[in-house]
Amino acid sequence: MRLLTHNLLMCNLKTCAGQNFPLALQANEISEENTEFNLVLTQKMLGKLDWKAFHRVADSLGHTLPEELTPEDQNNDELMQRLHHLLFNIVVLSGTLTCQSCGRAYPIDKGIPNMLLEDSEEA
Amino acid sequence: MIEFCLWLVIVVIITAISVIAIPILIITSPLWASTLLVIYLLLKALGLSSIVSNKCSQIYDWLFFKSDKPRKFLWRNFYNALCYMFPQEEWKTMNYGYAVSSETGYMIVLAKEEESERFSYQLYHFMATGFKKTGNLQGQIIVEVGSGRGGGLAYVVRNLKPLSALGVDYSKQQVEFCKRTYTYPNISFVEGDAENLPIKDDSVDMVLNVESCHCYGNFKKFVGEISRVLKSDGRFMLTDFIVADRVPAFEAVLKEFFDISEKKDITPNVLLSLKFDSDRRMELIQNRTPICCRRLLKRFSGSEGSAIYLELESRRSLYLAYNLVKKSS
Ligand SMILES: C[S@@+](CC[C@H](N)C(=O)[O-])C[C@H]1O[C@@H](n2cnc3c(N)ncnc32)[C@H](O)[C@@H]1O
Ligand SMILES: [Zn+2]
Repeated sequence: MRLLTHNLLMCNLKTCAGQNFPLALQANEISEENTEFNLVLTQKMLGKLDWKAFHRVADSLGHTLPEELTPEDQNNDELMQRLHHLLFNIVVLSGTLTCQSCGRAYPIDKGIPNMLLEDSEEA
Repeated sequence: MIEFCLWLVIVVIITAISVIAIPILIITSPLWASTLLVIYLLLKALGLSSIVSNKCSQIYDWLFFKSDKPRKFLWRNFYNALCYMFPQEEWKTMNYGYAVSSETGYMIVLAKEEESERFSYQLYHFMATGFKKTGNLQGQIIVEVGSGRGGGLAYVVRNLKPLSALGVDYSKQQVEFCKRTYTYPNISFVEGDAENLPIKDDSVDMVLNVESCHCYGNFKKFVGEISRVLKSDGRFMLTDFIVADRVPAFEAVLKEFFDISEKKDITPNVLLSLKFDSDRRMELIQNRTPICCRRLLKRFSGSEGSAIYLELESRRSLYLAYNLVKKSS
């Protein structure tokens, strides 16, 4: 799972009220890929990103990012390269995604988040 | 430890049953086999065999196409098993395809390695371009629900260039297949359920759903979920086969959440695709699958003369495509 994907995922328990996004990431195994830096793609992606959630998940992996992204940041090459790396190169192979509201943990195995509920959990 | 003991007990019981029961079954086979034969002949003589096979057909139809929980369970295992038996990477799509009415049925230019699944890719092209109206999906976040073996979504990413694409499917085997097979940085796959999408509200520009919703136990829940995850100006491109009688009820559900911006009856295009593609599908089943599964697979394959082909040809079922926009609330 890339952090890009994390940016879309939420807890889907129907009984889960409130803060079901973003999920807290516990990464046990990470692989780093080597995609070529693409400034335009990175900028476009940032335009669509939930920055708060991204900031938080990067933080949990030990990458501190600015609280807010200013228009000048978009031209800061060093920062853009770091963001590209975080978005496209970091792949979480195993770990868990945990809901901050109800505590439901979703496993990540072989790089794939399993977001399926048990029969008994379905509304 | 307790779990291990439990397993041990189960294994012992199963072994005991097979050691004792199978010989008994074999020894007594003249008895029960002849009884079955007599019953069969009797039914046939009395003209009741068609009633029995009709009942079986009805049960089958209910299980696979009408029930709630059993339907979901059966399809999931069907797709898991299919992908387990058939892990070959050259098989990437699983829909009946779309052909235009011309000598060849071709609509788009494809790469050589895509050629063998041409009509399935054409269906994706037709849907993802909003019925051939847009040339690309630049800047969009797209999601496919029921992404199967992922070939369709990967085609869309390669050719229509969305910003990112997420495939959701509840079949573990298939999601693992996708993860292995497609490695573009902006495509990803998760295990998830169409009726409980793990995707946050108002975040998606387009949802694709190709020949998948006939498997869902609760269609209304699914449509509600799509409406929830789409942005207010988002689009929902939906296509599947539907029994003609059930179309009004089907559309009533859609209209609770969406306005139908455009609807196409693509039954003729799907039939054409099946005609062009018949030989390839039969060849695959005949040469690559175990003999015991061929009957079932042929039933679903859609080749000329198969059950689904006749359904569509007689228009008892239709293959419909919808371009839906979210109702402004
Ligand atoms: C006929 S296949 C189509 C796959 C793909 N869209 C294609 O055209 O190649 C139907 C797919 O829907 C998936 N599916 C069925 N029910 C589902 C559910 N409730 N949630 C998620 N996926 C589901 C199945 O696992 C299967 O991959
Ligand atoms: Zn939760």
